[in-house]
Amino acid sequence: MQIYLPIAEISVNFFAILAMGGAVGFLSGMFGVGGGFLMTPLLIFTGIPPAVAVATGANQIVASSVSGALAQWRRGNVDIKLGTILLIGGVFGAILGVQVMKWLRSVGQFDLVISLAYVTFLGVIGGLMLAESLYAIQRQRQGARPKLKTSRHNWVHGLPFKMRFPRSKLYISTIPLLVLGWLVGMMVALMGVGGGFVIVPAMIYLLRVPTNVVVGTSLFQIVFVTSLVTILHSTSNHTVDVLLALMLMIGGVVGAQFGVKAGQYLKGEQMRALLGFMVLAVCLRMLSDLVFTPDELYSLSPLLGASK
Amino acid sequence: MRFVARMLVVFCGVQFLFVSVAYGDGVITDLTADKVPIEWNFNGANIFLFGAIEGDISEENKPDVIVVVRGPSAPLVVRKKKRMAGIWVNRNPLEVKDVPLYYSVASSHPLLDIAPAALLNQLGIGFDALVDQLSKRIDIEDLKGAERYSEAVVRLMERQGLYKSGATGVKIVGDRLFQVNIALDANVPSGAFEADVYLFRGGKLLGRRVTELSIHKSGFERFLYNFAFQYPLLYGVVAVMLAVIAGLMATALFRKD
Repeated sequence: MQIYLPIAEISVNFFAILAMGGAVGFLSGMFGVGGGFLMTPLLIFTGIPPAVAVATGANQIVASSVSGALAQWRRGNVDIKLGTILLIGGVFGAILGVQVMKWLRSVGQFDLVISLAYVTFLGVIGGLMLAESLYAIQRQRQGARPKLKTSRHNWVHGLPFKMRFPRSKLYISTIPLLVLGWLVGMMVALMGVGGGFVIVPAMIYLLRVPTNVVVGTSLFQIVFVTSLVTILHSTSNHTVDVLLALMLMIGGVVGAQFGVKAGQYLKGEQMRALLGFMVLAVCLRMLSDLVFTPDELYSLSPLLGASK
Repeated sequence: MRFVARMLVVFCGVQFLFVSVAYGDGVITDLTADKVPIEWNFNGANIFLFGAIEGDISEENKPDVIVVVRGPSAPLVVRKKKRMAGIWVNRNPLEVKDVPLYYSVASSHPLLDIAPAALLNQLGIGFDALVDQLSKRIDIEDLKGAERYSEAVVRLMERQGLYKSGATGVKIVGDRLFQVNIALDANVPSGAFEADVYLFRGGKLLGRRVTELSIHKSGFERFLYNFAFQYPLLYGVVAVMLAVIAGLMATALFRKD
């Protein structure tokens, strides 16, 4: 069954999009990740214009993170003060990111920048994930326990403008929080990801936020930043396709339910190794488009700002 | 059966016109649909253009028909990729003014058998003529470069199925009647289209007829598109609210199991 997308202005197969949302939802349920970093590249591979893929991806993440955020909230796992500081940074990042996308589109470089950003992030994350999990698997075979870093302080804790966060039992500078929030806001606006894969490790290893509030607080921030990005892209770039987003949401939430169940049968290290492989595969696919001589050197784009 | 019936209607029309007006050579045409709605399940459309040839159709001098369909025009930016530090980067942007976003040409014989290249160029019939026209709409000194960019426009649009050429797309039935299929893919732009029917004989243009065709988003698609462009802030807020509702509904649904 074909469905015509009014904003992307192409016709897609309803079941193919549903299956794609389902597959990414399945993976995100299984691995406990957002999945935006897989969804956006897949949408682009399908032929959805990159700007529409990014903005619609942000809209879809609102749906996939809101229930998690609410559940964490009920359990008291959200540090609202910390989340709000992150969110302030995120708001600035989102506003800047949306304008950067607008500018990059007008000079015809958005497709390139998003590909480069994805190749870099997917390469680093996939590589780290794979290396870490293979190392853990090897350690396990040798029967040793992985060593954990125990120090509570690092260079971040020497920065000025400190603030107290009672829920997280932290007394740290607001600068790294604002910068981290800003970075994630930019990533949501430009890449259509939730940014969980950056904010969660940064909170754990850099800021030393207690692990029980990390997920809830990052979800709290992600819900608001992705909502803001959706609205900003709607007003500045007109690139949010509600119809596409709804199809992805339906597939995504159903897939996630099955993913969670499937995840219970896999070991943590093996799962991370598998995810690392997949992330690297998507990265290589994007890199090959940038490096290999394309069969068509010319490209067309509408003159932005011209009346349709 | 419907085709035959339509042909008969057109044919009767010819006779009527021929008797009452009788102004010599020309064509009259009709479309199976002059409005094409783009709805939620739009996956392209096929429109038939029927026509009849008026005037002299003697054996030694058979007429030929060319049908050109032009869509709405817009300026486009063409860029050429260059390798920089191992990566292919879009460079050298050039603006091409008034590029038809849809162009299809069909004829009863290969174009150059119907009319000389100079005349086709002048009328803007065929891809070669189109490249020629587009080259003039690029603001650049280098004529060879302009031609390469124009060729790229035609090639890329053809690849997207927006430009089509069928050397023998016009079927002549009997002596006077003809039919042509206008294929519109799912990515066809919306706007005002024109079907230009040209009648040639012995390399000369005898008659021309323009039929208008309108392709527009309609129903739910039109509503969403207008909503997104006219009330972008509200559209964004609604998109977020839908996502929140979808997320909460999913949780509620799966909790019961």
